[in-house]
Amino acid sequence: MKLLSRIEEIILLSIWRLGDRAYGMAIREEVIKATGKKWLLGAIYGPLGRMHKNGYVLTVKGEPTPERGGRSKVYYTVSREGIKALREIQRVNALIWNGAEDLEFKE
Amino acid sequence: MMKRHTTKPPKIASRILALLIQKDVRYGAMGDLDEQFYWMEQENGGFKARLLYWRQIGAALPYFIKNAIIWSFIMFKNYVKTTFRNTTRHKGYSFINLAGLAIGMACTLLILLWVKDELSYDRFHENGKDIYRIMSYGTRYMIEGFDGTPAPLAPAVKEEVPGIVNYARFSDVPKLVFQYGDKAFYETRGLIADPSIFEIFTFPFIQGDPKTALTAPLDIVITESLAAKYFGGENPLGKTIEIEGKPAAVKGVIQDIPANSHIQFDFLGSYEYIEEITGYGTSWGSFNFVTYLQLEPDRDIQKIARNITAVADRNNCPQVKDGVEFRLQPLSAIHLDSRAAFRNYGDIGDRKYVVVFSIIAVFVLFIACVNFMNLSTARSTTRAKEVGMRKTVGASRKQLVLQFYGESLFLTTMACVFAVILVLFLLPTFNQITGKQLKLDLIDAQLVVGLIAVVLLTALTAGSYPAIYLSSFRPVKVLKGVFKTEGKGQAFRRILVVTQFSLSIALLIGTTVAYNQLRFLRHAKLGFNKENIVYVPVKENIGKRYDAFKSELLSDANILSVAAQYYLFAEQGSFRSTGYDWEGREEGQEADIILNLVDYDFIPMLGLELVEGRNFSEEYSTDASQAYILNEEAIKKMGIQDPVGKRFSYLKRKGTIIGVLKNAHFRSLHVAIEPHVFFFMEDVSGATDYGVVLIKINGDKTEEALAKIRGIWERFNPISPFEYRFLDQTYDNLYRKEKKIGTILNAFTLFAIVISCLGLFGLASFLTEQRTSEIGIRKVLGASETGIVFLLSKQFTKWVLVANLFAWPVAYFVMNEWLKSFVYRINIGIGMFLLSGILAAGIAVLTVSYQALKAARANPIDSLRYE
Repeated sequence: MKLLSRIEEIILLSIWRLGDRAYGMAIREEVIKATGKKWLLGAIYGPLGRMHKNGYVLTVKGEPTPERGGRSKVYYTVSREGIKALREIQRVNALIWNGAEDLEFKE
Repeated sequence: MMKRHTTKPPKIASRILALLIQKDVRYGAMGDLDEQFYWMEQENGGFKARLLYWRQIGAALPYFIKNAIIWSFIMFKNYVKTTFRNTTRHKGYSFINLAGLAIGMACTLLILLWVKDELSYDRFHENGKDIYRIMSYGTRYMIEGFDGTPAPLAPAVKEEVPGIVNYARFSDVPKLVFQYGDKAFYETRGLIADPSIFEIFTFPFIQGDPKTALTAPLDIVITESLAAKYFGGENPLGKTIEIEGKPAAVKGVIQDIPANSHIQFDFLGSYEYIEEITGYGTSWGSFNFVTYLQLEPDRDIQKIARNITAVADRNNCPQVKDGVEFRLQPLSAIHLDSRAAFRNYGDIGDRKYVVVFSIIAVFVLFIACVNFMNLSTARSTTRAKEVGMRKTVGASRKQLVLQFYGESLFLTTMACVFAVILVLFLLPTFNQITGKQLKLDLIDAQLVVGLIAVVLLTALTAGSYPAIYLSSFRPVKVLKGVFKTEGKGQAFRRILVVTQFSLSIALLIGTTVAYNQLRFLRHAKLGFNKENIVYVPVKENIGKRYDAFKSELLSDANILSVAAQYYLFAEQGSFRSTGYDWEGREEGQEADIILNLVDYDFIPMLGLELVEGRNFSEEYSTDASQAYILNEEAIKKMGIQDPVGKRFSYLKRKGTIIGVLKNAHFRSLHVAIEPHVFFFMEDVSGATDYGVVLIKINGDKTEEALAKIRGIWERFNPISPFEYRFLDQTYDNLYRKEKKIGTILNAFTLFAIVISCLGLFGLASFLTEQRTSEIGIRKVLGASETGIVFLLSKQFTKWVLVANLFAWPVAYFVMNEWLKSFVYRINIGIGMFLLSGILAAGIAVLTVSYQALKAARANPIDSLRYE
C-alpha cells in the first residue's frame, strides 16, 4: 500500500476527528488549527479528491442551503480503507520517532 | 424562502475551479466555496470575497498539475505505442503523409522566410519611424509618383516648415573608375549625399568621424568591403583614391550596408562635389535628388507635405506651378511601395507579391493538410475497430479526439523536422533564384515561434477531421463488423480532392499566364534592333579621341558600325527635361521630354524607322548644331502639325525639326511610350559620366570582334579596365524581378502539384485495395483490363475535371488583376486554361492509372482467395 502523504494524513485525521460534522469548511478549519498555517479551501480538494478515488473517504449528502448556491452540504467520513491507511502511517510514524521523543539540538 | 444574494461568485473563476477539482469531490467543493464566499462577503465585503475566491484557483492548481501529469503519462505511453504501430504498419501511407506535409511545410517555411525578409526592409535605422521620403506627384506627368525632388527644396523647407528636424539628399553617381596603386576597377554603387545622412540614418562608422567625413568636395566614405578591395590590410583612413583622375580622400569607413536596406551603396561622395561629378542641375526645375526628412515625432504628415508644396510654389518651382505636389512616404513603406520608374538604389520589392506569396504559402500547406485528412478518413475502416475497442473499455470521446490530435501533432512535428532539413538543403538554390541572403536561423526566437505556430496550425487543421470523424464511431456498429465507409466520408473526400486540385490548377494557370506575359515582355518587338550590339562606357580618352577610336574600330571587318549615345535608353536614369520651345507653342505650354544626344550612325544602327524627314547627316553643316529629331509621341504631346521644317529649340540651342521617328519602346515595357527628342552630340568628351559607345558586331564572329575591341580599348585607355555589355541582355535585365517571381511561382506550383498527386496516389491505392474483390469478380465475369483501368480512373478524373470549374474563374480574376499592372500585356486566352486543365487531369490520370493498372493486372485468384 502506498503511504499517505503528509497533507493527506492531516486531512484524513481531521475528518475522523470531526466525526459527522466533517464537510469542506470544517475540515479546513481543523487543518488550520492543527498546522497553524493558513490553508486555502482550494488546496484541500486535490488531496481529498485523490483519497476519494483511492476509497479512503466516503461522501454523504446533506440538505441544500441557500448559502451554498442551492447545493447540498457534502460530508466526508473515513472508510475502512482510510482507517487502514491511517493505521499504517501511524505505525511508520511511531517507528521513525522511536527513540527521538526528547529530541533536542546538542552543542 | 431562499435568501437572495446581491453578488455571486465570479463565473469565470468558478468555471476554472470546476475544471481543476476532481469530479468525485467537485459538487461538495463548489458548495463549500460558495458558502465561504457568502460568509466572507458579509464579513468583509464583496471585493475581498471575490479576491479570495480567485485565489482558490492558485491553491488548487499545483495538485491538479501533479495529478494530471501522472495520469496522462500513463495513457500517453499507450498513445505513443499506437501511433508508432500505425505509422510503421502502413509505411506507404505514412510516407505519403509525411512527405506531403514535409514538402508543404518546407514551401511554407521558404515563403515565410522570403516574406519576413521583404517586410524587414529599413527597420534597422534608429530614427526609422520619423524618416520620410519626399515624393512628387503630378497630374500630367509623374502621375504614379516620382522620387526626384529639386536640390534647393530640402534646405528651404527645413528653414520654413515647422516639424522638420533634419534632411538628407541623395543623388546617384555614374559608373566611375577608381584607382589606387595598380588596382583599377569600375565602381557603380555610389551615391552623393549630404553629411547629415549619418545623423538621420544608422550607418555605423568603423573608422573616421561622421561629423567631418563629407565636408570637403573630394571627401569619400567607403564600406568595409570596398576598403578591403583597394587597401587590403592597410589603414584606409586618409588614403587617396583616384576617381577618374581626381584625388579623393577616404574620410571614413562604415559597415557594409545590410541587404535589407533600400539605400544601397559602396561609397558616398560629398554633396559639395555635386555639379562636377554628376553634371546635375541644382535649380528648382531639376528633379534630380531624392530627399529624406527626419520629422519631429507625431507630426501631422499631411500638413507638413502641404507646407513643402507651398514652399516650392513660393520659390517658383516650374513643375509645382504646373500642378506637381509633394507627399511624404514613410521609410518602412519605401521598399514595398515603389514603382519601377523610381530611381531606387537597391532592388525594389512589391507589396502585391508579398500578399500573393503569403496566400500561396497557405494554399500549399492546406493542400498538404488535405492529404492528411483524406488518407486518414480513407483509412478510417482500419482504425474503426481500435476506436470501438477504446470506447468499449471506457475511453471518452474527448480522450479519442485528443488522441487523434496528438497523432497528427506527432506526424506534423516529424514532418517539420524533415521540412527544416529540406529547407536547409534548398535554401542555397532559393537564394540564388531570389537574389537574397536568407538564412534559417534555428536559434532565432521569432522563427522558432513561427515554426511552432505552423506545426500547431497544421496539426489542428490536418487532425481536425479525423479527430472528429473517427471519434464519432458507434462501438456497437464498428465492432459488429457491419461498418462500411459511409456516404458522408466519401462526399467529404470528394470535396477535399476537388479543393486540392482547384488550388493546384489555379496555381498552374497563374504560372502559365505569368510565363506567357514574361515571354511577351522579353520577346516583344521593341521597334528597333538590339541584337549583336555591345556597348562600352565613354571613359578616359574615349571621349577626347572619339573619332580615332571609332575609325580604328571600323577598320575591323567584324565591326559593322559604331555610334555614341548619351544616356542609354535601357538604364534606369534618363535625361528628362523641360525648357523646350517650338513653332506654334501656346503661351505657358510646357513639355517634359526625354533628351537624347546621339551621333550620325545611331539611328541606322538601331534600325529606327523615320516616318518623316531624314537622319542627321554630315552633308548638312548645320545638323551638328541645329537639327532635332523627335519621336511621334513627342510630336503628339506638343501638338505640332507638319513637324518637319518647323522651328524647335531646347534652352538656347535654336534649330529645326528634320525628322520624326516612329514610336518604339526604348525603355522597359512597364512604362508607356514616352516622348523623346534627339540631337547631335557634338562633344563626346563631355559624356564621360553617362555616355556609351554602341558597337554593332558580326554575330557569327562575336569572340573575334570582342577581342579586337578590347585591344583597341587598352591602347586608348591605360587605366580604365575594359568592360562591355550586350544591349539585348541589358534589356532582358529590365525584367529580372518578374523573372525571379516567375521562377519562384513555377517552383511552388510544381510542389503543390506534387503534393496533390502524392495524396491522390495514396487515396487511389487505398480505394483500389478496398475494391480488390470487386475487381476480381469483374475479371472472372469477363471484364477487360482496359475496362477496369477506365472504371477505376474514371471517378478521380471526374473530380479533377470538376476542380477546373472552380479554379478557372478564380485564376482568371486574380491573373487579370496582375496583368493590369503592366502597360503592355497579353490577353488571357482560353488556351491557357485548357492547357492547365488538361495538364492537371493528365497528371491525375497518370497517378491513378498506375494503381488501376496494377489492380487490373492482378490475378483474380489472388484477390478472391480470401473471400
